[in-house]
Amino acid sequence: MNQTNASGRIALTGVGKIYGAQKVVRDVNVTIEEGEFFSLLGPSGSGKTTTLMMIAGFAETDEGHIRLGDQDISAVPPKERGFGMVFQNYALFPHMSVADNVAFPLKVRKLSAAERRERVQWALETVKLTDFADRSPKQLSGGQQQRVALARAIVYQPRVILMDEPLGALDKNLRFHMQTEIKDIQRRLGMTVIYVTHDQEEAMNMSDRIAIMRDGQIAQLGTPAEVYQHPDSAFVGKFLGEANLLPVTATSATAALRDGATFACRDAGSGVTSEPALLFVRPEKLRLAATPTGLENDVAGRVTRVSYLGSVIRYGLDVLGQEMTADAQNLTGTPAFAEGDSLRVGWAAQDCRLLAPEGDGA
Amino acid sequence: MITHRQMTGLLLPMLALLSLVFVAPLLWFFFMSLGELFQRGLGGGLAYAMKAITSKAVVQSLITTVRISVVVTLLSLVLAYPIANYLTRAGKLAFNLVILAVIVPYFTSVIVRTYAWMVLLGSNGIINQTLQSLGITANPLELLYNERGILIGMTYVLLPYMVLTLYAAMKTIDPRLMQAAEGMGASRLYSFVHVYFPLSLPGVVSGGLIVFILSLGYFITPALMGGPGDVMIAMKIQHEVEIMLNWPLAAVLSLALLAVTLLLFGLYIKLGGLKHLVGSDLK
Repeated sequence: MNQTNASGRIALTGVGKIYGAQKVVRDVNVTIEEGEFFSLLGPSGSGKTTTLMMIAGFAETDEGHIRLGDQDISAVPPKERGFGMVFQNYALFPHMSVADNVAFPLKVRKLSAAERRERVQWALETVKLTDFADRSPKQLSGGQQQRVALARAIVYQPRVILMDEPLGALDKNLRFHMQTEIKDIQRRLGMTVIYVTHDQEEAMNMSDRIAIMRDGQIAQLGTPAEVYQHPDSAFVGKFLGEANLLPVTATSATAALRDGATFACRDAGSGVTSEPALLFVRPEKLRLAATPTGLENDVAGRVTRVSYLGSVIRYGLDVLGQEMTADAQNLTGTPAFAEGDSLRVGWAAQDCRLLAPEGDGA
Repeated sequence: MITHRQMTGLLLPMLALLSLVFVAPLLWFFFMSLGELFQRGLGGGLAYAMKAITSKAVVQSLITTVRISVVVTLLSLVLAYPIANYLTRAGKLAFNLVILAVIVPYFTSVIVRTYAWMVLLGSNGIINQTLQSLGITANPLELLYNERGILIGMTYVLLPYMVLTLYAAMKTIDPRLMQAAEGMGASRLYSFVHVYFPLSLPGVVSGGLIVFILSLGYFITPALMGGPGDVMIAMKIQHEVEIMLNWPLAAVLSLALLAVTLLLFGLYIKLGGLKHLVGSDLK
């Protein structure tokens, strides 16, 4: 078994998975660098968990290759891959104490009792659970069980840790807290983490890079800022948060028309030219003003709804007969508008992109 | 809405029937026979009971009973464990077929099933004929009218209890635990020994207890498939009642058997065994 000295770099080339007549994962190509926090993000059925299970070895790699460093591990059984793994419902052994759970991978590897004690102590310290070593997992809260699972995954200091929706069962506050802690531990230990989630905030909060998956394929791959600000498709734009998608007619990759108004956008590289397209712009990029905004894009609109959300005020707008959403920072001095107000809606060319309309109406 | 109390009331006819046909005759039997026994006075009665229980024939039969029960329990555990494990992993069709094969014997009379085994196991039975025609054995194996016959017959009859109990316990084991163990570098065998088997222990203990309890008082199969030397305690009791007409001795033995059975059954209930057997959710 080769774990601690192995590389933490994982490369997937042309990876696919077939169940019956259906290809649930298709042509996944990505190289995850040593020490990277990498998320597979997508709705259920997008193939993210299947992809993780192929990396773990629990699912066979039907097509393509998975490499760890320079070694092809596509056909290597899971127990010889030497990855740490955190499962969705933790998969703690209910008949063992917390310490025995954490010691399990060390016992399998036949470490001496003294070394085991030392490593278990270290792992429990890392997840701040030293006082719970002798408890049974059943006596712990969800968050604590999650930490035990984490301690058990890091205890033999694998180069790579795979996590399958590890925070899915926790409530929202605790989730955020655990996200920060997992990220901290990952950075401190320099491990590669491949993380599966359907929660876009979670993925953006933790990841160096995110692969957004859809229908078994990677829809887009990039840093959180890249995929959030510059989605390649309406699907990615909508999946990562609120998005305005205004139907327009594109006249080039950077210009579009609607009802006599002209729009200028940044080149999305999506090949959209002269055809129906969607103009994408995030709600917080819209500037609202009583007089023309002076930005590259500037159209008339009317306020249809005002939601006071605290740090932002969310406006529902009627722009050229289309609904749009604008988020205004709740700063002192930001002009406030009321339902029915007519105003100007503006945004910079660099904040919008022209995307292909979605075929399936999603 | 039917209240809890009304539901409990629905049990009354059944309770009354059981009292009338089971509890009352039993009490009457104990009362009559022990009354006869204690006509010799308390000391005399107890001395007789002690002497009866420690007599060579009774001790021999007790030893036989416990030995057969232990072996039957172990045999059915070894046979049922893989079946139950398979059931937890089987697809719907396979599950139904296997469970049918396990349960159908329940619906058939014990006597019919026992005679069927006798046809199979006899000196000229199908098994011996096959073995001899294949040249594997020269002479017929003695599979019937000895302890071997009893073990085969009883293990077969009691196997469903073990399978169902083990299955109920195994179903509560999260299959991802084995996956997790494998992901942490454990071999199949290591995960089985350290994870799966310990988690299936409640089922093993419950199943073992129920099969052992049922074996202790078993009558028909050992009576038909055993030899003259293989006298289990239930057969001894029947012998005393019907042939020797020694009701006091039969009563003493019955009481002893009843006491041991109730004791084990109490333990079984305490371990949640009934829930396993009826397959209710244990979570």
